[in-house]
Amino acid sequence: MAIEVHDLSKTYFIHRRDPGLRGALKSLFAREHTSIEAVRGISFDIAQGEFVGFIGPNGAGKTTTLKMLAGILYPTAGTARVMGHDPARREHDFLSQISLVMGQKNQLTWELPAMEYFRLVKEMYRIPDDIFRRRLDRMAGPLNVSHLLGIQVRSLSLGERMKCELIAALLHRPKVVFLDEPTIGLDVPSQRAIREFLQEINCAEGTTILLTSHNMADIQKLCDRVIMIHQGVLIADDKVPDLLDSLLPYKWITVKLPAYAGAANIEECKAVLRQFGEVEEMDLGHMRLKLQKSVARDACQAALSLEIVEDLTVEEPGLEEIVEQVWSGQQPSAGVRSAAEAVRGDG
Amino acid sequence: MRKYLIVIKNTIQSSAEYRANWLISIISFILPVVGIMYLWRAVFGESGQIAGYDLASLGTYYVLSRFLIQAIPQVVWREIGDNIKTGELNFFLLRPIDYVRYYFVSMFANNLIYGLFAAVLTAGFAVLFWDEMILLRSPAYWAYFILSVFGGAVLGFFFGTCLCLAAFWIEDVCGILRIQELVGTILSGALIPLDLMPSAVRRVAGVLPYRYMLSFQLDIYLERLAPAQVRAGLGLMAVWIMVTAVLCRVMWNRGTKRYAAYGG
Repeated sequence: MAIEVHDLSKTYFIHRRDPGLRGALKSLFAREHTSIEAVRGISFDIAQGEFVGFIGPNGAGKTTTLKMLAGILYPTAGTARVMGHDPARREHDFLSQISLVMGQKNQLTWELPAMEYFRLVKEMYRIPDDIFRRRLDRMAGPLNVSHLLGIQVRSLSLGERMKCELIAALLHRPKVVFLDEPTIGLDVPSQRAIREFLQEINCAEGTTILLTSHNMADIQKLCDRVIMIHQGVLIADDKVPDLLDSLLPYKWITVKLPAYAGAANIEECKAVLRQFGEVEEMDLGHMRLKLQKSVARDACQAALSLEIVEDLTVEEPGLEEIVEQVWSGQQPSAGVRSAAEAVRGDG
Repeated sequence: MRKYLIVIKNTIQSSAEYRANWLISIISFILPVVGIMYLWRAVFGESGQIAGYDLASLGTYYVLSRFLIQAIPQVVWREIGDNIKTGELNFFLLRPIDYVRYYFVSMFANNLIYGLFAAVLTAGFAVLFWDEMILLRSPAYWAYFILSVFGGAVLGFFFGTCLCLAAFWIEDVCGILRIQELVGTILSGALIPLDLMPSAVRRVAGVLPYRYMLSFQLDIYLERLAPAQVRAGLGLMAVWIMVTAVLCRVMWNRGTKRYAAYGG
C-alpha cells in the first residue's frame, strides 16, 4: 500500500474571541481557549498507482488530512504510513518520495525566475543534470510554459504560476503526490492542461495521487475512487461509478414535445411516463422525469413510441449532486449511511 | 552542500532585485553617522576625553559600528517568525532541506552583500572624517577583529532565530523583536559605548550576548581590551553560540510538533 491511514485524528487548540474592539481588548486579559476536532478517526488505504479524489465541504478536514500525510502536521491520534514511513518523522527517504501541491500557496521565489527555484529543487534531491533537463522538458512542454522559465515569478499569470508550481513539486518524480485544489482560480484551458498532465503522470509513471478539489469535473474525470469526508469524519469511500449507483440510483430523462402539442398530447405523454417515475419539472414543451436506473431503458422505449415526442435526452447524475445533497445535510439515499449519522458516530 | 550554494546565489539575486531598498540603505547608513559625528565634535570641542575615548576613537567607533550593524544581523530574521505564523513554513517541511541551515546560509549571503556594501561606504566615511579615524595596525588584533565579526554574525543569527522560533508558541513575535531591538540597541553599544554606561549596566551587558554582536568587536578594533580579555570574550561568545544553537535545535524539534500549519 502506498498510503495506510488508521484512526487518524487532529484536534486544533485555538483561542476564541468576540468580534469588535471590545472583544479584542477582552481577549488581551481573559483568553478563552477552545478545541476543534478537524479530523476524527478516519481510516483508509490507497494502493500504489491509484488516483483518488478526496472531497468534502470547506472545513471538512481535507487539507488537515493531506498535511498530516505529507508530514507537515503531527496527528493528535492514530497512525499514518506513506510509502512505509511515518510522515511525522519527515525522514529524507520519505520526503524524496512525496510531494504536496497547494493551489493557494506559492513555493516559488517571487523575485526570481522559476528556473532558479527548479535548480534549487534539483540540488535538494540531487537530480543528475541530464535527468533534470529531460524531466523539465517533459513537463514544461505539455504545460506550455517552456518559454516562461526565465521570467520572474511575480510577472507570471496565476495559471502560469500554478503550472510552474506543479513542475517544482514533481521535478523529483515523487511516488505519492497530494494535490490540494490545484486548479483553483484557473481558466478552463489551464484546468484542462493540468488535468491532462496529472492523468499522464499517473498513467505513465504509476504515481499515486490523492486529489482534493471542489471542482467535481476534475474528480470525475481523473479519479477511479472517491473518499468523502464531512465534519472530520469519513462518510464514503468507493469507486466513482459504484458510489454514484449506490448514492444516486436514478437518472434524468428529458422529453421534448413540439410547439404545436396540445393539452391532450401532453397529458398522454405524462401518463405514459408516470408509470416509470416522477415528473419533476415541466416547462413549455419539456418534461423532466426522475426514474430508477433499472427502468430507464423501458421508459425511453415507451416515450419514443409516442409519435408526439420530438426528442429525448438521458442524463446521469454526477458527483455534484451527491455533494450538494450531502453537504446540505440531506439523506443521499436509503441504505447508505448519511453524513449526519456518520458524524454522530452511530453509523 | 551544493543546495546551500544555490541558496546563497538565489538570496544574492533576490536582494539585488530591489534597487530602492539599496538606496534607502545608503541613506539610513549615511544620515546617522553624519549627525553623530557633528554631535561628538561639539561635545569634545578642541580636545578632551570621556571614559578613555577621545574624538578620534569615538569617531571610529561610530563609523565602524555602522559597518558592523550591516555585517552582523542585529535586526533578526522576521521572515522566520512570519513563515511560522502564515504557514509558509509548510514548503520547507516538505523538502529535504534543513530549515535553520537554509536560513543560516541565506543570512550569510545577505550579510555578505550588505557587509561588502557597508565596507565601501565605511571606507568613504573614513576618508571624509580622516582626522577622527584610527587605523588598526596590529595584525593580531586584525585577526581577532575578523574572527569576532564572523563569530558575532553567527551568534546574531542563532540568537535572532531563537526569538523568531518562539512563534511556534506565541504566533506573533513582533513584540519580542521590538523589545529585543530596543534592548539590543542599548546593551550592544549601538547607542553609546558601554564604557559610558553605569557600571551595573556594563556588568549585565558583559555577560549577555548583545555585547558580542557589536561592542566587543569595536573594543577589539580600538585595542581597548588586552589580549587575554579578547580571548576570554571570544570564549564567552563561543559559549553563547553553542547555547543559542542548541536552543534553536530544541525549539525547532518541539515547535514543529505543535506547528498548526495554518493557511492553504
